[in-house]
Amino acid sequence: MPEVMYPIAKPAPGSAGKTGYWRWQKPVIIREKCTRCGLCWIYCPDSAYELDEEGYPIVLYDWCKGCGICAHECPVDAIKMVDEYGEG
Amino acid sequence: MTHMLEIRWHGRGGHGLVSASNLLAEMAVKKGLYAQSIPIFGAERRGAPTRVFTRISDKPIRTRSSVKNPDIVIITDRHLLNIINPLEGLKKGGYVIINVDELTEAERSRLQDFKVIPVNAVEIALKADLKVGGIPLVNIPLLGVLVKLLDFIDIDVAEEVLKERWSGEILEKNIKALKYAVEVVEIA
Amino acid sequence: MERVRRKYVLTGNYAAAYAALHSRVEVVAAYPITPQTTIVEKIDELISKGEYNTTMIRVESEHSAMAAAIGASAAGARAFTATASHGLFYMYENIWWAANSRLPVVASFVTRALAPPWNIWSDHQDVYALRDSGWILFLARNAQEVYDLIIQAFKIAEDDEVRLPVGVAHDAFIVSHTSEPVEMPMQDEIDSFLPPPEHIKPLLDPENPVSVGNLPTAEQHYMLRKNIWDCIIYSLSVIRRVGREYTELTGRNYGELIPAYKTEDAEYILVTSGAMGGDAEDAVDVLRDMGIRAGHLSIRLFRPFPHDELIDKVADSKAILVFNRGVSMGLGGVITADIRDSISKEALSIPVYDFIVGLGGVEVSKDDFIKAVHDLKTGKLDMKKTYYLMGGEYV
Repeated sequence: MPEVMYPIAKPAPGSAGKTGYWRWQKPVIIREKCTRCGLCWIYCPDSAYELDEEGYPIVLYDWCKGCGICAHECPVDAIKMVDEYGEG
Repeated sequence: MTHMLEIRWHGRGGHGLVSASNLLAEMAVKKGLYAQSIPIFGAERRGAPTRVFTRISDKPIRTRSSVKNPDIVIITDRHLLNIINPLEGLKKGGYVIINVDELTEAERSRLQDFKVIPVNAVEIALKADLKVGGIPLVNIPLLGVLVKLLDFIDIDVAEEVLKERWSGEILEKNIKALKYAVEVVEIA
Repeated sequence: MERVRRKYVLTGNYAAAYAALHSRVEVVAAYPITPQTTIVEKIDELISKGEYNTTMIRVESEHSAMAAAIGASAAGARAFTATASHGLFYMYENIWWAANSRLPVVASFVTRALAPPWNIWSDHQDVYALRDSGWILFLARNAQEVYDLIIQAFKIAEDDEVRLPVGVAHDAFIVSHTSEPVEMPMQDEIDSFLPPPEHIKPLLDPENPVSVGNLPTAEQHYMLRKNIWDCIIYSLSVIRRVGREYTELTGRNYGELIPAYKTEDAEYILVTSGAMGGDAEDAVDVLRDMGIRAGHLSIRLFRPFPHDELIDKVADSKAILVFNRGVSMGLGGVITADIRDSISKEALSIPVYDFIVGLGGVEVSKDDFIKAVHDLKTGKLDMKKTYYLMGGEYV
């Protein structure tokens, strides 16, 4: 007796694997400049940001694909994109 | 019944043949028989020649193709005799129920191989005030002829079926037309 | 066995409407198209009288009709739709969404030719196009079968090991608009046969969020289609079990998926599907009166194809003549290909002859079948050919 398979996906962290390895640049937070506005956390298309108890962003490098949207959106230039494999 | 009875109705779109055929099928089924009513739909609209088939049997009916050799042909409009051939395939000695006041000599000779039941369905409809948009409905008077002709259908079951379809004034007119037809028609 | 029943003189379309409502369908979404229209008109009329607790969703197209049925079914509701021909093809994308999402939607398809030129009459070409989707497909011969098969369809579709949509097709006008007696079980009997819709496992549940149809890997996609194969093959046993239960309820034989007529000792077996079956049986009787041992099989279940049952019923015959109301252009009759597949799987050497009949609503009558058998017996037929037979003549 076959068991029915459904074409469904459940929300879960990284159900497609650790997508962080797709990345060649990574965002680095410059804590001194950060105003804790949370825009990076909102804009991240991969939910690869968390906020710490004080409201500062933490990048989840296992899932961050390095798209740079956070750096682009940061209103105070507190996120710098750094080459993953270069001197940076 | 020893064989399947096949009836072919010839009329024009708007004459109410589908309804009459369906009502006849319902009467037969109420009498414990099997029946089938097949309307032929095409591009026809009001006025175009149309055909409907009724089959009645004491066994379940499996045939679904058109009726080619009817036992009875019903013609709602005498002019159809000149436009199509409603008599095609009609069994020798079969019945022709035709809506006319009086048959012409030419019509009489055309129909000589068959048992002809002329009935003035227009007059019956008008007498019962059975009209739609001012036009007399000939379907129920013709159905009345069948009620009289077919020994397995009686006026009680006919009334019962009409009562399930209509109510009030419309029902009264239909029953009146049916009963007039049963009264006036002469079956040789 | 004989119990007092409800018996009405109904068209095939009204039989479909009553069957859906007697199955306590919760959502009906449909768009009108001839010759299907009177199914949904009747459903709407009965709902508006307050007799049924069913929601009718009036949509703007057949694509949306199936989409709404899919949505309702995904939420765990018992859902139904009906269409025909071009409406079915407009719905076609969502036909696959229903199957691949494993949703127990039930639909009534009134078979009709495809344009151009415009044609409203019966032709099985529209329903044959659903062949490979994963839908379970029945072809009914008369209004009684339409009614009976739709009620069974819900039970089959909702089976936890099947979970596939089921379509019940019937011929335009020849069944859809022909009035004939239809016997119905009482509502409490239907309710005891078909459990209430609450048992249907919802795919979408706000408490347990999932997304349906997200991009999978190629391998996952492959395995999902393979799973439909496993389940539709398994469904044969469910369809038979449900059929036997329905037979017990009504006394009408649904244990057979390919109803047979006089095939036990038949040398020549006519195979048809849908409404032409009755006239084929008339032909069998005429042929037998002439001393020719003929029999008839009606392919009531088209997918999954009941291979074993077919082989059981044709194994001792001398020749099979298949009459198709639809053609695979450049190959031959759609059902003929199925029959040849079964014959070849068993390495049998029974010749199979291919006939195309009734396209565009051309009448099929007993003379067509009789002519085919005569021509076969007198050595006039070539197995490699596809014969177009119209009005008793090859064209």
